[in-house]
Amino acid sequence: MSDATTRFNELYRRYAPAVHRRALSLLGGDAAAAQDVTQDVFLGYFRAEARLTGAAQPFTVLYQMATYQSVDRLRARARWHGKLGALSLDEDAEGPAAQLPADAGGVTRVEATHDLALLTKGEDEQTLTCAVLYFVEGYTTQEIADTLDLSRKTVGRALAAFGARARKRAERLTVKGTV
Amino acid sequence: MSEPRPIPDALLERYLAGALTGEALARVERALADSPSERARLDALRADSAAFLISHPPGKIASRLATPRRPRWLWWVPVVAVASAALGVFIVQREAEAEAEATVKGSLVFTAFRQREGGAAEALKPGAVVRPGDRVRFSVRAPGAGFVAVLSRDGAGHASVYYPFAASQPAAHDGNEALLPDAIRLDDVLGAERVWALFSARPFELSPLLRQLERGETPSATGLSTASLMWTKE
Repeated sequence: MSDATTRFNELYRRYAPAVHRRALSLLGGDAAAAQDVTQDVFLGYFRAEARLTGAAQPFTVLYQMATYQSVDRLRARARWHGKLGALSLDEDAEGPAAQLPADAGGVTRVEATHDLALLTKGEDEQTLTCAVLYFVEGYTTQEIADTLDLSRKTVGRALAAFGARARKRAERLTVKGTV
Repeated sequence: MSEPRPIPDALLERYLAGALTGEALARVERALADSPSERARLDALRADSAAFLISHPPGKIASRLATPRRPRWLWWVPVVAVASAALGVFIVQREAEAEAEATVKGSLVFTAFRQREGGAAEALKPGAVVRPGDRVRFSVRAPGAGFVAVLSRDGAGHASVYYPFAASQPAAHDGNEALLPDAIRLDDVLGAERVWALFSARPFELSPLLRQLERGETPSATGLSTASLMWTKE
């Protein structure tokens, strides 16, 4: 077995279950699509690993790639529902940003995820992941910072900047009458 | 007194992967020590991970990392060159929307070759019939140094990146080395599939072009040259 294959197998065994569950969760339980995302994420990561700069841990890079690719797939069939409210950021709040039901049908969360897919078009992987975690999944800025190895301040800045852009997009989507 | 907030899924995943450090690690460990239900969540994740790796071992994906053995392709390349000369140019070509400094001078030539048993190559003619499992490799002759990608819209309308595989950015291309590295193995989605070669003197994003393809549109962007071919998978 080559060194590259050994390294790939190690990465896969350590992180693939989490990547797959991440994709499965965002893709509404679509197992085939989640498997495709898992495969694409690992091949993409491994081929780009030598070019990756900085000290980001594989987990944070893979988690963002899985989130990005899953949302990208959702975007192709997403409809605008207007479920994300004002997209306001309260960085000082201790509690979560959103309290959307993830279970018991999870319709509201699914709709919110579709909305966010439309609003994050063109955003980079880190911003998109922060936005999904905060506006849809209800993470606090501290929890996002812990998940992605960022400072809470960095998360706050990214979310505030995204929120400003997203509110304009949301207005346009609402005016277009696609709700 | 309110219930403590559950450990977020992502942090529990990161803990399970052994990738959590510092204060965040200490917080998760405290929460696990204090809560049987949190420990049960962790045990369930651990069991799910084990089951996933049994049903989805890395070997199948790892095999796609393998670079074709050099001698095989070295032998294949001259065959390709002969075949191309004999068949002539059969590739659709479209010049870029010209922006002064990014105008493409010359042509973009895109060719696909199916590897046959024994390593010989067959240039795919327009409308060629291919089969699931066929191994296909691409050649892109660009008018100069720049960036190249190969995208596809399959019979189900799904768009994907064939080269650089599953990437979000094109690969650097010196314009001279026509045969792209790596081959693809065709999946089992049947029907007409159009495959696009994209070239630009500047880096470009693939995501918007994939979305254009998903909508059934021709990939288009400022400074982008495209060439395409179509096959039918049966």
